Amino acid sequence: MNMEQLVNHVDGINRLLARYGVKFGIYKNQTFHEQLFPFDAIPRVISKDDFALLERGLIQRVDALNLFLKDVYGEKKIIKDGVIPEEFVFSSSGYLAECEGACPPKDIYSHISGIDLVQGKDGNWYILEDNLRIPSGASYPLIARELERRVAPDTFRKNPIIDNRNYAKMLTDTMEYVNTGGIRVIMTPGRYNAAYFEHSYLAERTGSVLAMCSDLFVEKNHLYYRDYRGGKQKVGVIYRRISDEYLDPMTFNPESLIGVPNIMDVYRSGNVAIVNAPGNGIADDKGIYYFVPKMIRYYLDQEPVLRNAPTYLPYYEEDRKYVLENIHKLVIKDVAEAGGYGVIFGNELSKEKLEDMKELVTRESRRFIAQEVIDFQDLYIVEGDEKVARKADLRAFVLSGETTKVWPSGLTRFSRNPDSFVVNSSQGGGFKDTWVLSQ
Amino acid sequence: MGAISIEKLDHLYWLGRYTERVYTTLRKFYRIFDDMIEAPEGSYTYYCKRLNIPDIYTSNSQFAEEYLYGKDNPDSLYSNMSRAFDNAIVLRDELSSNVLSYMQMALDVFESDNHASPLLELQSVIDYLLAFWGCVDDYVEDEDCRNIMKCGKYIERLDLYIRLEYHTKDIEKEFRKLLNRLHKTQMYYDAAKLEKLKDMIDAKIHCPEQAEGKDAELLDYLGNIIEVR
Amino acid sequence: MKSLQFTYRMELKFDQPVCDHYFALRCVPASNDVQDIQITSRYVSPADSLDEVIDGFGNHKYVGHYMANHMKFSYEVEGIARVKGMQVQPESLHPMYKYPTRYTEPTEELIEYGESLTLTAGDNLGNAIQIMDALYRDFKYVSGSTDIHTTAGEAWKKRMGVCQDYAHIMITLCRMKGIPARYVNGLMIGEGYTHAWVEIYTGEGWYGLDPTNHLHVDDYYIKLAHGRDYGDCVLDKGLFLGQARQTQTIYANVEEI
Repeated sequence: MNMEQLVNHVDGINRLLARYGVKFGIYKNQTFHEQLFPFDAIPRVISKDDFALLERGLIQRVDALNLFLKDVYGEKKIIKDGVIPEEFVFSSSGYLAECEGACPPKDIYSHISGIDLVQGKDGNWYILEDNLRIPSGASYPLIARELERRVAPDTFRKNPIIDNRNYAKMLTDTMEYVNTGGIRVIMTPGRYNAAYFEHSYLAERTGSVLAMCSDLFVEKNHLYYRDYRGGKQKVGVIYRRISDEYLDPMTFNPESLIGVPNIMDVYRSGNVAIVNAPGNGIADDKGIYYFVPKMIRYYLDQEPVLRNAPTYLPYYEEDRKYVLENIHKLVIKDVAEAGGYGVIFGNELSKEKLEDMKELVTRESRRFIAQEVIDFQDLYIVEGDEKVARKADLRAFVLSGETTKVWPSGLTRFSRNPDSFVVNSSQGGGFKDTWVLSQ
Repeated sequence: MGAISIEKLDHLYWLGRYTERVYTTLRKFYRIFDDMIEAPEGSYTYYCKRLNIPDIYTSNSQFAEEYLYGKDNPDSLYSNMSRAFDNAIVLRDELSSNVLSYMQMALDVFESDNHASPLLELQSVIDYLLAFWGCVDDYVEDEDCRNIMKCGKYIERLDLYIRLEYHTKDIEKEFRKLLNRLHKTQMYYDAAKLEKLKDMIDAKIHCPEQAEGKDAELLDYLGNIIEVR
Repeated sequence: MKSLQFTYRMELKFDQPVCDHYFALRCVPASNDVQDIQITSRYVSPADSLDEVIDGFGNHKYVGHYMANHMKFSYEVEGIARVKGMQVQPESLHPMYKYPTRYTEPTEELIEYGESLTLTAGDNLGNAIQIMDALYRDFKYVSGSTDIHTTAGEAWKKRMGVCQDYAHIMITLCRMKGIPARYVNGLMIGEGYTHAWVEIYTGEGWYGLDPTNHLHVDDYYIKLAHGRDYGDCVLDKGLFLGQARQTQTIYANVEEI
């Protein structure tokens, strides 16, 4: 593809990104630092056909996950029918009993889903994980595209790239669809949050009110935003960017200094839409991941379009046998841990440690999943004057409102380190735009 | 957009004040910097006294560096610029990314390591701050928002003009600008104190000998017209 | 069947004014197969806003807020309960009552103790009673020996505790033995405090056992709320602004009429 103009101006784009404060925050030794999120100009390009496949697969997956959440906090048919063993649900920390019987407006639990994928060397796409709580990252390719077009109009004139700047509109529509009759609010824990840029940018772009927890209060089982003259405005939908445990100190963590007291009761009564719904952690649990293809068959009576990375559940005897025999080449993940913790590569373990691991997996079979290491396709990045290949993943954003839609773009993160499989932004990686072609 | 919480009111007001503090003191500094070429060591002492900031400086050149760029010095222009930025960054939805970018760029000038010729470098801070205010008028849609910021700006400007002994004509002019904005906002302000302030500024113009030595009182009224945290 | 007149009153005094006070109260008993409740009087004061909602466990909850400064906060519920205890309340089982929670995580010592118990009754209720018997023998009631944060494992280490600990340990052991169990907050005949006991799932429904007193839950108990453990059904929660020290007085009285 012709992208010379764009690649030549990468420094300019990074300079503009700095100007607009496109940063993410990290805590190092308990102090907060903001870092620029380095942008690499060579985009991930997804062909029209590939995107059509991804679109079908992602819509199917997110629809099934939403049905699963409704079921788990409602009738529990999938458990009664023996498709998912109940202990994978009810002993998971992602399951919140406080959400039992709550009916989110229009039955949507995961309004904004961030689905992480990689493309294997075989060309197949594999789902790595589902993020149904507060997936972040859409703002980066959104603002980058704006600047890319400014700097390299030729590149966009010559290539059939679908405009991704409709994200704000998609997000607004998604929020409005579940709005219970009030203002739209994006709630941020504050500027010392890793994704603060995104919170404030999305508020600007969607024309939503950016609120701190202290701006919101509950009265007569409704949620309100308090203005400085003592007036109040009813909140109909709240896109909260704080996690469940801090959402309501009266229901969850009582030590939480943020959050809105009694907001859970407003939600349970159907008087406000919370985007995404509390309790979604049960559906993006590492243990539940294994069952998503089964969910798709169960709820939709369809074959999954997209594959999971090959995953084994030592909980099942057959899988356990395979895991114990092949542990040296598998990735073992502790389902209770998050954010890259509790991930063990079998090929990095000594003989002794492998034996220990085998014993642990046998003893606490419910606690682990094991996955094949996927040989994924590298993407090129510009390093100095040369192009080098690096590991990269894709976070696709799926928005569920009146219908389920896949944003024709996504966040592509790459690792700076040639040996690393970790594409985490806090470890020096950067991001790329994701182009979806229209022809 | 459209709904200003107490928290936002606070940030808008202080954004106005800190931006103005950086702007006016920086302009004043041009003069001081020039004076210090011939002036004896320690010529900044009077300035510190007028501004009521601790004189922690050891030489003219150390003052120039430390007062401009001192990271841990709460009175440095850098610290004040940081505070302006801290108030601005939580207002992206009200201000717009466009407006906010001028705050970012002004802060970046202070954060660069290039201090070789400060006035050459800091000229761009003045440019960015002026662009910021121009951009505010164009892009900040909510009128109340703009008025609150400008109340902060004129209160700070009056405060500095009084402390730095600007001409009473200038003080009167800025006071009229403040009045104009104050009446347009729906902020609560202390009407009695405002009246008193008006009388004192009148006195300053018409019977300067009577008003002499009353600056502290004047500043006290000024600082307490609007109640923000 | 007994008719009980009950009163539950809580008074919170602050030594300095507090404001912006949110509260959530689970002090209103609800009618079920065992108890028929008629509320005769209730008040919460001061309150700007008060709503009655149902929580995720099916408990009645009063939630509300008071903005202005205040030095006192109190509420009271009075009513008549017609109770017919010692019977199963038919209900389908929610699986969450089968699994450990924060307060009821089995420690090694508890696992060991659980393994030392041989249950011979052949049904959930019979086995639960045997657990209750064992607990009566091996655990001691010592007032003030634990607090509201104490887990089953911590209390078991000391072999002493109060009703909350009896309930948590019994729940832990029951779940270990495959008997679903839940925590109950409520009132018992006489004047004094609130009480805690357990309900175990028989296969058809819930049945109350009071391990602290080594008793079946009979006509002299009124249930206020239940959950997986204490944390799910705290009777009153509050959140306010202010540096005040608070003193709480609780008055509970249940008498037969």
